[in-house]
Amino acid sequence: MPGHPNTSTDSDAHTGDDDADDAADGDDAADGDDAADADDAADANAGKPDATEAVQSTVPPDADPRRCPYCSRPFTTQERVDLHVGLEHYDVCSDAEASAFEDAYTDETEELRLFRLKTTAVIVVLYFGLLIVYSLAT
Amino acid sequence: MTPALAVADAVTPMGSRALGRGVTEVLARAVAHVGGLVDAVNTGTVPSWLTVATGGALVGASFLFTSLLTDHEGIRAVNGLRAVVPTTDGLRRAVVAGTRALGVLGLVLVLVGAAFGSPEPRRNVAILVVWVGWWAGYVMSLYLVGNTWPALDPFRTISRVLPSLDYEYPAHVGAWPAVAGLLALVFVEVAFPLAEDPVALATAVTGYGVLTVAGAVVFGVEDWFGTADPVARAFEHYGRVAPLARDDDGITLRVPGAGLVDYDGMDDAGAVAFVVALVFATTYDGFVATPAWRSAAEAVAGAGVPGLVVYLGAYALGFLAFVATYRIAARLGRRTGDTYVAVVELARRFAPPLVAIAAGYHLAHYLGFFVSLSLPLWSALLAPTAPPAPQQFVLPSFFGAVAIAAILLGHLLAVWVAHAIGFETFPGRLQAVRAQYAFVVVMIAYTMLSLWIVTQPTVTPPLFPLL
Repeated sequence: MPGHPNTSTDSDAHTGDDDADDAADGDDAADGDDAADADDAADANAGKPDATEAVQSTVPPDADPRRCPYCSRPFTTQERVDLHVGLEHYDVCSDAEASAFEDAYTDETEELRLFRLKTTAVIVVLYFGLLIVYSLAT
Repeated sequence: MTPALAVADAVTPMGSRALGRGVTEVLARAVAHVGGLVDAVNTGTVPSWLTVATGGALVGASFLFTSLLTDHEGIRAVNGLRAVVPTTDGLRRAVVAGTRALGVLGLVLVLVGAAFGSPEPRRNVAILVVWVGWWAGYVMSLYLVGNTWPALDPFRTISRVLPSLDYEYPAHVGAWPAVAGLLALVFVEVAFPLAEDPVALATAVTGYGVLTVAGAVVFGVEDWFGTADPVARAFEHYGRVAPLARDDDGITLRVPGAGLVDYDGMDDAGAVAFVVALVFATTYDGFVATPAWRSAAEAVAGAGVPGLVVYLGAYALGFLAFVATYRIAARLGRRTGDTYVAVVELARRFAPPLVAIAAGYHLAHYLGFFVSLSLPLWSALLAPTAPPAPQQFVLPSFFGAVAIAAILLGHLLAVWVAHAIGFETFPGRLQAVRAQYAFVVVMIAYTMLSLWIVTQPTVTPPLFPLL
């Protein structure tokens, strides 16, 4: 993605990890580094112990992104910001943000219900479709 | 003489430089494990096209099932399950020291066995140790148990005792040397009779060893083996699939594949290309043994194209096609996910699930091979200088089904890991599902391709004069 200036957040957070990993790996029979990784990810996103680490983003020049007030990650809609704040910064966010999160979450649940119905329908069609194909082909 | 006949007549004029003999074909032809596999698939009542279609449908359906699980915290909790297996420092040090000694001993055995052992592949201790013991059996332990390669790797052990020049590893090069190294290793494996000719094998091992130790001496052991060494990198990836991992508390037990979800080793485009290369390499290895490849390659070679160009051209084109497909999937993911997450970031985040696919494919290829040839391996280890006439386990016919199950299991694990990564990346639940559409389509296509290769009758790859 050349030429996209809007690289949000600290993607450098990765670079340090490797050395720690390798040092650990080099010294032992079984690999492992998850504990160290978790710590680093937490440092990169202060405030939330299991926060997702920095997410590199690119915003098209003509877009008008909504940004997270805590980590300034850009999102396409305000609902996504609300959801993100509730999921990643719940322990530091304001009461208003917490209730915005709950609203956005409830709204999405409605949408999700329809999606689940469709998913189930496709699974059923797939199952019986294969059943018929098997009965014809074998 | 027609051109086709001319090609057939020209088979192996150069003796040891026969192009296109994969390990599985050469060692397994007598074993008939592949034959057993094909029989199990084809003599049953299910035609192979239906097996392929069912595999694709199963992967698609499992994506639909996992898409019903939409709880951010719940998904995180499953992958966060950990149990510490208690160990003591003393025990650990002893195991590490023992493993390192074992690795160096194994290397010596391979080099000496190649020089003085039986010239017959299935009685030669070097060939059996490398292909059956190491490449088939040991690699399985990496993704089924845990990554022990950093301790076992004899070249790492040797590099540790050598002085280091400690040049700084150029950061912008990243994992690209590992990509080139992996592609080169796999091509050498396919193109040269490393499973037939102990001397060729020892030459390849020595060549790899010299390059590796030189790299570690110049750039430092940790930098070289952590970034640039293709074998260490591939095995580290496989170790991520495994349920056991080492951390500060000792040995930790985790959900298989959980190590892929929070994997932050994908630092650059090279690291992503490496994972794609890992998946591609196994595919190519199987593909050159299909009748379709045989007829296509013979047609091209019959038109006067040198064998090396045919094999190398298909290799390069195939790899580029895999990389391009993955890149397009990441691009589409950005669109269907309606997100500002950069395409490179998506490519990086969704690369680890591919490792589970590669592991499943490896298991499918080598489980039967390992089981049936474990007997000659054992005899050769007991009597390296004069192994008895090789005997093998005859595989029961259900092993064909085991191979298919392994491929599917790898893909199912990949679907689950990708799902978890989607939910780590996106705050919207529907968004997290939608962003995976293109990746899932690619996985379905890849499952079907893999199953198609596995259910094809295996033929010896056509052999052409190199130039």
